[in-house]
Amino acid sequence: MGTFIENPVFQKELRSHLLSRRQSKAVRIAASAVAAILVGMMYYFSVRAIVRGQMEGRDLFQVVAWCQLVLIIFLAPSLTANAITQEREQQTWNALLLTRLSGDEIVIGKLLARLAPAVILLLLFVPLSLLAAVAGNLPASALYLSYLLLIATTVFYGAIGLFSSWVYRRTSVATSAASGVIAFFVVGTYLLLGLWGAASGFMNIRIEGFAPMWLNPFMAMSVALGDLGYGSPTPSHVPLAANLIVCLVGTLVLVTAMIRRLARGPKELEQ
Amino acid sequence: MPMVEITNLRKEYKNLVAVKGLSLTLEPGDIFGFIGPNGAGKTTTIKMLATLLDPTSGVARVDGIDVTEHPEEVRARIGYMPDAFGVYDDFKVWEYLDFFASAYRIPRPDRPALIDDVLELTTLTEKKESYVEELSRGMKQRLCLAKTLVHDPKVLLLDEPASGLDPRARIEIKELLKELKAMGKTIIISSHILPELADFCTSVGIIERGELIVAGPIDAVMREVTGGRVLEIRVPPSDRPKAAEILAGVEHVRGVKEAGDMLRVDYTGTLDDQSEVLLALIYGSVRVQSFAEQETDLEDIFLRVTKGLVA
Ligand SMILES: Nc1ncnc2c1ncn2[C@@H]1O[C@H](COP(=O)(O)OP(=O)(O)O)[C@@H](O)[C@H]1O
Ligand SMILES: [Mg+2]
Repeated sequence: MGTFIENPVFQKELRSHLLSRRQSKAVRIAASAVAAILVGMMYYFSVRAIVRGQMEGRDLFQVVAWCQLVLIIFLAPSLTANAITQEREQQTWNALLLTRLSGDEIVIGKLLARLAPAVILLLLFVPLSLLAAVAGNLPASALYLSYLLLIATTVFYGAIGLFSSWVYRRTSVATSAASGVIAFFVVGTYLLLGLWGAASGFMNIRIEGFAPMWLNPFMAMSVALGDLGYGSPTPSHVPLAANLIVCLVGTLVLVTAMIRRLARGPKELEQ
Repeated sequence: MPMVEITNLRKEYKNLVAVKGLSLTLEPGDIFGFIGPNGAGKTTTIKMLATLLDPTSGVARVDGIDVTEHPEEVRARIGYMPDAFGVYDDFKVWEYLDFFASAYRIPRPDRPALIDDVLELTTLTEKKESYVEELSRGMKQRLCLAKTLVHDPKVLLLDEPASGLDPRARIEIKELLKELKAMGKTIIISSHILPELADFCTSVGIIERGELIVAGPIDAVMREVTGGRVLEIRVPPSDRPKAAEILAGVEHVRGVKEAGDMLRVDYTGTLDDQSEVLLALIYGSVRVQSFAEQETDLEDIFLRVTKGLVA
């Protein structure tokens, strides 16, 4: 961990993207103030709703979990999709590759530093989730399964963004490509499900048995939350487990592909 | 052992051969001016040396190390400054250099002194705390050069370092290059403008459509290209026919031309023999008003060599 914090790429990315001093102090203070007020209001109204009995703890927990998932789906790929194209566009990439930095320092440093805002976002929600879980008397598994899924999704979608930033030359193309892949996971799989359903005459459909749906983060989240007793009477953990495995394996494959290619030397992309 | 050794280097792009069998040897401390018009293949050659492009065939070695076989080790020995480069705008000058120092694995305690040294060398000491985006173009160029120096490379590959700079900034870069020369670095510096290289290169090569047309020590290249020196002799008009006649009979004189009020003599003899030309004229009672060697500069050579080749 010590060496990781020392990673020059990680530090550089944090510096220029999280602690950027481009904006004036006034802008930064204003932005932090707005964010603080929004988070404060969110906490205030949620807690008030629970105390007044307008909302059940488990409902609040679900709402918060879905919110985080939707935010992550939009945020994670957009944070990383310009991580490498930007260096190419600003003509700094070759200089970085010619240093003695290793492929994994560059790839992992960029991935994790770029995802820092998403991690901060999740952390902001943790106390609220905890509160809701306690108020709703939920099992601990509800908490850790949903956060496991959120973190796995963040890292995997971040890796997809980074990978497409590495494959494509332009940020706009890289962002579209990453968004396309993720749109397939989120929306496309529902379309496939519909086709499959139509083909089989909507008979005997068991959604969790339909493999493409394992890619779907919403499906996985339903399962994580279905654990709470909101799902089908015989809840299956398969889609959640499969989704987590996809995230893990997918991340590993994408990250090692980039590292191994970089380790073979920083040859320029030739048209 | 040569510091840079290129043998039959070739680079093919899809439907174009950018570098055709280029060979070149540089000894430690050589400053090689790599000259050629746009699109001649300078950048492609330099990128192959910088381990950024794989040669299609041929071998390039830096300090005896093959650039395709051991790119990591070559990278530790070279400082590459691309023709187009970017800098991290939102960094302070010293932070920018600190990042590269750490990326080149310079231990943290050694970095502050090192950064001060390269800032001093590139005369950016005063800008240490400024943001990179506040620097002028010339300063950014020097900062980029400072960055390529943090790991103390033996060989500098500078691709058109003075392009796009105003005259003052050019002079500053030139001064800096002279200091690097004094430090004993081996430097390859490319340009499509000649005079800016003339006074500090030890050797030059002229590249045209991927081929090195001439290469070698500056004076040798000049001799090869001009086939000798051009002597300019001023004599009164009445004496000119006589002078031309006498000159035609002198050894090593290739030709005599009248140019304005001067006689222009193509001479291939040595510097020692050159006085024979003047003596012959004086013994022949020609009233010589002035006798001088025409300055053949690189610009001339360049135009001569590439004439007809540049469509
Ligand atoms: N990536 C590339 N793909 C195809 N052709 C290229 C590429 N890079 C350079 N070229 C071509 O190779 C030739 C040499 O280019 P370059 O080395 O950049 O010349 P110079 O630096 O002397 O101006 C040019 O004709 C150029 O168009
Ligand atoms: Mg060029």
